[in-house]
Amino acid sequence: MKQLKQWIKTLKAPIPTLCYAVAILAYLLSCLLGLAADGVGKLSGSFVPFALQASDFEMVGLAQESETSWGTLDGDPQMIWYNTEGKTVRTLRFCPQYDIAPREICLYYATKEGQGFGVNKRVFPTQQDDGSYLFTLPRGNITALRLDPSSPVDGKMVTMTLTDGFACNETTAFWQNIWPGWNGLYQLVVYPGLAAAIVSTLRQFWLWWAGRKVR
Amino acid sequence: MLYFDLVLSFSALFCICAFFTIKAKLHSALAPLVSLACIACLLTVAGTWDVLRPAGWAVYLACWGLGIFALATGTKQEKQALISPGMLLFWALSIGFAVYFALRQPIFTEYDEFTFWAPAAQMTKTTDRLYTVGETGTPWQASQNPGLILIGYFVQFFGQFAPFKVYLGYDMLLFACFAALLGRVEFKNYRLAVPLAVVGFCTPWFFTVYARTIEVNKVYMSAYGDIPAGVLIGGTAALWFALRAGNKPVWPILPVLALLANIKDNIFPLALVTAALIAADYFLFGYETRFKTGAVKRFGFSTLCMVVPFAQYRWWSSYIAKLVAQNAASGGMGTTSDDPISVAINGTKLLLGLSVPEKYTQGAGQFYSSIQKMTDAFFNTKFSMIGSGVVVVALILLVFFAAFLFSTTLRQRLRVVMWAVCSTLGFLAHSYVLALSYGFIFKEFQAVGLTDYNRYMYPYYIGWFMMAVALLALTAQTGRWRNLCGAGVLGLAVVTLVRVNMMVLPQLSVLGFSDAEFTDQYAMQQRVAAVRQTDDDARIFIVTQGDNGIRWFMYSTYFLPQILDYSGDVAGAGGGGGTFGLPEFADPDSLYYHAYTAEQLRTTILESGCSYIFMDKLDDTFVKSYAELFSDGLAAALAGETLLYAVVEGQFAPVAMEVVPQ
Repeated sequence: MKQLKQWIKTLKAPIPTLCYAVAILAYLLSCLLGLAADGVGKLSGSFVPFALQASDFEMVGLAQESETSWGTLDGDPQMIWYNTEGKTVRTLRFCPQYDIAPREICLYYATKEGQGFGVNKRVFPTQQDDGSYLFTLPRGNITALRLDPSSPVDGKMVTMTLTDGFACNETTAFWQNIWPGWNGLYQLVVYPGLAAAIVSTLRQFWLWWAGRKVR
Repeated sequence: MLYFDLVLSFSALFCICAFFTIKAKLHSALAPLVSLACIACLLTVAGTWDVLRPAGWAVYLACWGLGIFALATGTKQEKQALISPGMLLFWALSIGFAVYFALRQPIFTEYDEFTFWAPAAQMTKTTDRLYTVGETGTPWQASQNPGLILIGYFVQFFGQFAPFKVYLGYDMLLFACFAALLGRVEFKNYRLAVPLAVVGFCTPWFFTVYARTIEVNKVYMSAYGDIPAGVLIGGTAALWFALRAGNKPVWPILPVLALLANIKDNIFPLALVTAALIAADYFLFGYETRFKTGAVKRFGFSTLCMVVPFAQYRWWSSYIAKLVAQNAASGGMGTTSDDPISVAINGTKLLLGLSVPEKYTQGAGQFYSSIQKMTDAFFNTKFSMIGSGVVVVALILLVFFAAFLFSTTLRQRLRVVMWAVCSTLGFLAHSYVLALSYGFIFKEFQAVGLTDYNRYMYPYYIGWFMMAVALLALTAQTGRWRNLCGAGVLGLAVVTLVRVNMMVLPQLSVLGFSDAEFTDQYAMQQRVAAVRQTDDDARIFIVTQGDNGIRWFMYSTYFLPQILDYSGDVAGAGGGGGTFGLPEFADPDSLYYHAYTAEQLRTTILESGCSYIFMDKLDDTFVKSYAELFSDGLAAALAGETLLYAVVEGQFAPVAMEVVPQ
């Protein structure tokens, strides 16, 4: 502890350095805890890869045209899946084929029973090299998913063909577990800096209050 | 190397910043704004002389040459001055956004981006000439100012045109203003620097987002001039405070004032307000010990501050007047909208009960009603993340009051009072000019709905707010109870950041937008690419039934340098999209209905000089009305086999092509 104090004293800007160090360490720790939790989940069998079929979803605004294809009926087609078995869901990947451009594809999620779907609980996919779409969900309880497989313009029908179903919880690369995302990166830059400004300001007030000479 | 042009432009900008810092003793946090302003001014002059390409080379060589000279001859201490919080903020944000945009590739999506800003930026880059002399299908003369567009041009001077580089150029101007807001704050005072950076970064959202985002918000990914204009007003004031605080030469304010007058037509009055504030500040408070000492010199420089934006305005106006006259002589539309100065004079005379031309008497009702609606909007319409215009004004005046409270000397306090009172008068003047515009320049439906009212107002709110924050930041460095004053800035940062976090979802903003946002644009680009493969130079007539004009503008941009014909009734200003059909099928609710008989459409197409007809969107009305004009009765287009019909010897025949389904 004494050595740590000595080291802190040698820093040119101890408060910002510590704030950024704490933020980065906290973030990395949360990643490691998440990975550990995933590991435990895998060992205990609660976090395992599983597959879903189109028949597992409740189709809204979609009409089945053949065994593997569905046509949109309106501008807001939805595929809803209720997680009745309480499975852990972290990723969902599917490989649809469309007759015309599907426009926006997104996945809403609910974290509590009976909770509605809203824009603040929504993720967008990243398209993979094989053309499939991969959604990554936040860690935590997922009670239901709503996949919007397309966003047709009014009056245009989109036909989606699904031959392979949905793959959930596939193994991801290590870096994907520690990459904070663009917004996460932005937060890692801004918040520790602002925290340092707050701590430093409070310290100034404390020094003034304590009647000591302010640097 | 991909995007090496950005490396070159960044290196040139860094070099000229280094020169200004080392040799002109300009603080490194202020150098990016002054450098970008100088570059924009030089390129504007070169553009009007139609020597943009050589001027671009000259600017780059001058930047590199001067920078290398400064770096080679500067002392170690002078080079150390290059590093400051503001400078670091500018380069970190610029490089960060360059990398991010290069990976994510945002593109233009908004209406007015396509009506002017996007094609103007694209034409200027691809032809190395100002958009004012570039050919498009529009029948009117592009006359908007080129300041921003030329910054976008500079950023990608050596590379291929890309929309994200336009965004990057405009964002760099914003970042340069944020750097100026940090001004002379040093690293050890990071408790002030960080909040100022946060306030700056959040401000564009704070005054333009009024509800939780439900669709992608384009702040930091927009080619519109409104936000840059607002931030530049604040940045100019911040630059001025920082220049004065250092008691160094004040000339760097001049190119920035010129740039401010060169952003948009309707920003010119705001540039004058800003220039007047700076001129008054220098004349009244720029003395060392006695007011009389150097009063004449100060008056001279203050006058220069007013002359520069006027000179910029006159330079551009006379250039446009010359072009419009040439355009009229060659058969194009030879008029632009009413001169704002005449409108201001006549509107004021009307209010004073003096005689005015009949046109103004007729528009009086619209003018008075606009004043009433704007007053209602000020109290009841949201203009920020914390409430209506009256709340915003209260917040800004509160910040000025805090600066007043923490000032030490009588002179400092009088200075704050001058800025607060005169900027409030500027706000009233801007509102008045806007009321005149709604009354006498805009169309009746625009006045009734106060169309785009917030877009005309928020530049002033943004600039005014940043101006007040810059003054508070200055007080936090020079006034009394500095910690308390700094805590006030910190409080502002927390409020703005919390509100932005509450209202702007990352996935619906620049921080994490979805690629799917651009799906429609990509689809249109694919169609243009398909049509382009057929013939590269032809003029093209477009049929896009039911269009309100936006698809025409988008296609017009994507087809450049190929010309998309205005395609329709030019005299009635109803071309550029719309719906074609026989007079008997006319739908009163259809926007821009071109009621042509089959023979009239045939003649229109033939007389337009188009070699092809691009069938973007057909409907029953078009098919029933005009199928007979086409050799296959439109069968190929209806079957999705072609998008194009060739005009051959007065006949319209389908062109064989690969069509990607949309």
